[in-house]
Amino acid sequence: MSTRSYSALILLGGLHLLLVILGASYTDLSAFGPVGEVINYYGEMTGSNKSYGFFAPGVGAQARTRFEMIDASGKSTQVSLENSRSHEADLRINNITSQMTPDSDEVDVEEVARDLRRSVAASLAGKVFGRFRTARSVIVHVDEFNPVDMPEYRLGQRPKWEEIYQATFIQEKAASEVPK
Amino acid sequence: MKSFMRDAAAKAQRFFLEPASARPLAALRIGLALTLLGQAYLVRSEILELFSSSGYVQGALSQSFQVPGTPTVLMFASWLSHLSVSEDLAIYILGSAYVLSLVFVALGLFTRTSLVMAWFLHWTFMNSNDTTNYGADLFAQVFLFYLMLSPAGSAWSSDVHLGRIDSKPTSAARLSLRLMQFHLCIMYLASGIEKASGIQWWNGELLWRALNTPIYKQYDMSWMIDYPYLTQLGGWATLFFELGYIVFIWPRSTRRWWIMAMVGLHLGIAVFMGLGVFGVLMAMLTPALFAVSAEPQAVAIGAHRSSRYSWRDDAASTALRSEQAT
Repeated sequence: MSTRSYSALILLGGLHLLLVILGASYTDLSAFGPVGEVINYYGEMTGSNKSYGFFAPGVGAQARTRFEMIDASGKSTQVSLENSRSHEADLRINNITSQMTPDSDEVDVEEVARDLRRSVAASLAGKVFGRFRTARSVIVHVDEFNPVDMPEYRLGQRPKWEEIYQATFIQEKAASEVPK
Repeated sequence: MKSFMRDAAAKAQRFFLEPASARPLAALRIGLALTLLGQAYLVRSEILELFSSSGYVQGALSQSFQVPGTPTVLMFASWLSHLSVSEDLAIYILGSAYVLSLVFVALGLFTRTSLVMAWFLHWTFMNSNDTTNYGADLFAQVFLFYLMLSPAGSAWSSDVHLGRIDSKPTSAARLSLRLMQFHLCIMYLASGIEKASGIQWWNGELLWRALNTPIYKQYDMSWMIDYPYLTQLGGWATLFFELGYIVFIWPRSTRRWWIMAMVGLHLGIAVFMGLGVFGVLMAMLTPALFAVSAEPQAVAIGAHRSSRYSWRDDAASTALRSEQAT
């Protein structure tokens, strides 16, 4: 390769790093019309449009989902989708749950937040219906973990889970009652 | 003025294009592939739940999180359904292809093709369930992309041993290395700035909260309440090393401190917060890109040096070259 070709590559590399800087500084390029869309797509391919604010500006809200499964006889059982086979897998399931917290990245409008929360809850409830075939209804509880600052902790306060959302999903017949 | 410009251009050319060994790229290639294989092993039992249309995030909902026009697992599953391949089987086929490509990447066998495949399939899986992605996935995507364009198979690879690829130093290796090094610098600077804007990193609350939050909590760390200066120091040290990375990772005198700090920070995250894959992946990046020598001289000196990590920087290596010549 000639030096000129390498100079062109350095230029392309520089442009790529410029996109990395813009991505890291949360610059929205979709305002630049079709060119911005193409650049965004390139960013999706290469990861150059991502930001790096891990645990920044601080530790955000944590959420957990509890499922209450009720069968035809009215018996209620607490069930979980997280199987604890690996923390890596549980972490991913927890990421889905966090879509239902009020400060989720995906949510900036209250109405969208409400719809999204309902859709995610319905999807997870669907999973519970599929896994527990005797379920007639599933109540999805979303709890938020409220950490306690160090000074408050010293004064005796303790962190606790607080329910922020609840939705009930009912099916007329449990899967096990439907003839195959 | 003209000679200054000529000097600057020559220095820039040396910095970006002086032929380099591909060893740092190979170290990254092997480390990344092994980490991702570990990740694949850890989520193997959840693959259908994470990616099928009847998984945790079902049907239309999963599509609402996708960037239009990006490849997804379900897109391939839909194509394969014409061959009477079920959705579940299609997901297993893609998952197996991803694992196989990573094995080939680690071995350096058909390296370029394997890297293209690994990057594409990794991206496809990321697009398929955006809600489950986190930092480890992002960094894997970023560095798989760089590696697939770089001569990452030109060192420590089966391709070299089989004579399929030449291992001689190239300008492409140097340029690829510089791009990845700069990316890492930008990443730590951006991360440091964003962290520094939050009070929790300054007053010690961050470490306290992170280590005592259920999803990350691995051990009982409530004893830290009696040592507030420890959590505060931890926050300050993280800010210092992240913000200073872009400057202090380059000089030989400070580089090893920053490498040790970054490895310590990320292994700490792996052990104390349970973010094993993320911690190992991040801990591997800095040593691979800044501690493994890219200087061709290391090969010329002897085999005993060529296979070892070296702290020598460009200047030290040049001095060594002069010594050899005399």
